[in-house]
Order: sequence, then structure tokens, then C-alpha cells
Amino acid sequence: MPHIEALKTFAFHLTYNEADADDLIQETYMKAFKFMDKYEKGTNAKAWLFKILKNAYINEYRKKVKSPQKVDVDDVGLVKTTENQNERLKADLRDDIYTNELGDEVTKALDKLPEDFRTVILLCDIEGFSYEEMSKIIDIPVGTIRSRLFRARNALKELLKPYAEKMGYEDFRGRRRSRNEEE
Amino acid sequence: MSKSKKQLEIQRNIDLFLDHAMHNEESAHFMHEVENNPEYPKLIDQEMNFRNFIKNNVKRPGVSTDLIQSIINRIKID
Repeated sequence: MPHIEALKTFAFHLTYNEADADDLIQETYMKAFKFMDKYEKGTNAKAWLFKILKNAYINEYRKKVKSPQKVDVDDVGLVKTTENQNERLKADLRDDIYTNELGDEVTKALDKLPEDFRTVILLCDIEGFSYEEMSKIIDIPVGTIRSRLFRARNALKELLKPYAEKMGYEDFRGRRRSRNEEE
Repeated sequence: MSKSKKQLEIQRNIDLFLDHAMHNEESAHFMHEVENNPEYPKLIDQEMNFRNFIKNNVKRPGVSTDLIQSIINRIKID
């Protein structure tokens, strides 16, 4: 399945949730398959798939999150279902703690960024798309990509500053020095 | 130009250079500055280290075979 790992990373950092990320990926490939005739041969297929995923996220996932499925309060199964969901959430969190996933400072910092900032960092610094490709994927001018990326990187550096200092770095942008050098 | 403005401009230029987003003329001008300012290579190194650090440490959740199979099945049905 072409580019599926890259799409999964992007979808995961948009939704913060593996199950939702998987749904988005399924939707992306279904749409790509359905609209195959719209793909221009010779153009970047990875960028095309990312654009489909980004649009699916905006048009479907965000709507779904904003208007959760209505449940009939008289439904006798409601309490049981809610308890089950809470139990599942607790189990997921335990899994995360055991696998140290919650201790990942870079991921935590990245996920704290506003969505627009996170998107450009993921597309440029993680996936290596050019400004022109990003401009097509998220439908904004190249000039906006440039300034947004600059602000996003600075915001990420600021968020990672305490972690960097803890690891013995003064500042990613400033002079780098180890703890040994300071002592 | 104030020192902080100059620093911002340097940072912006380094970003554009590393993103391969400079035009030929801009790139040549930037390379000339890099050759004449000993601080530049250090700053470029720091920016590259930061980007590698992010790239190497971001969480990349795995793709399950169930997901791939489920996509294949849905495509077959459609």
C-alpha cells in the first residue's frame, strides 16, 4: 500500500487517536481509488494522497467530532456502554504508560502546537514536502507556508526548550553546550 | 537594522536555504554570506540538528496488517 506509513503518522498527529487515524486512512484510499481518474500521471502521488487525507480530515472527521452521534437516554444499554468505554480508555492509557508512549517529549510538544502549525511541521520537516507541494496540499499560498513554518518551528523550539535544557542543551537556537562544559 | 531583526533575518534565510526554497540568485548571495561569516555554519548545523532531532523522535505509529487487509477488502467490494 503506497505511502501508508507516512499517511498514518500524519493522520495520527491530526487526530491524536490511532483508531480515528486508521479510519481516515481507509477513507483516503477509498477516495483515491474512486477518483483515480482525477490523478494526473507524473505528478507527486504522495502529495495527492496527503491532500485527500487532509480534506477528509477537514470535511468529515472535524464534523464528526463536532456533532457526536446522538444517543437515546432511555436506551437501557447506555450506562453499560459508557462504563465499557471508560474501562477501554483506562486500559488504553495503561498501555500507553507501559510502552512509554506518554514520555515522548517531541510528540507531546508537537501535539501542543495549533493544528495549522503542526500540519506544516509534519509536512515539511517529517515528510519532506516542498513549499509548492504543501501549498497544494493545504490550499494556502507559498508565502503563507513560509511564514507559518517559521512561526511553527520557533513555537516548537520554545515548547522543547525545558526538555532540551534538561538534556544539557542551552537552547536549540543559541549556543549549544553540555553540562560537563558548564561545570 | 537592529540586532534582533538581523538575527530573525538570518534565521529566515537559514530556513529557506535548508528547505531548498531559495532562488538561484538568493542562494548564491546566501552562500557568499556563509563563506564570510564564521557564525553561519554553526547556526546551520544547529538548525539541522534540531530538524533531525524532531524527525528521529516523532511518534510513528505502526500500520497493522488488519488495516491494510480492511482497505483491500473495501476496494474489492466497491
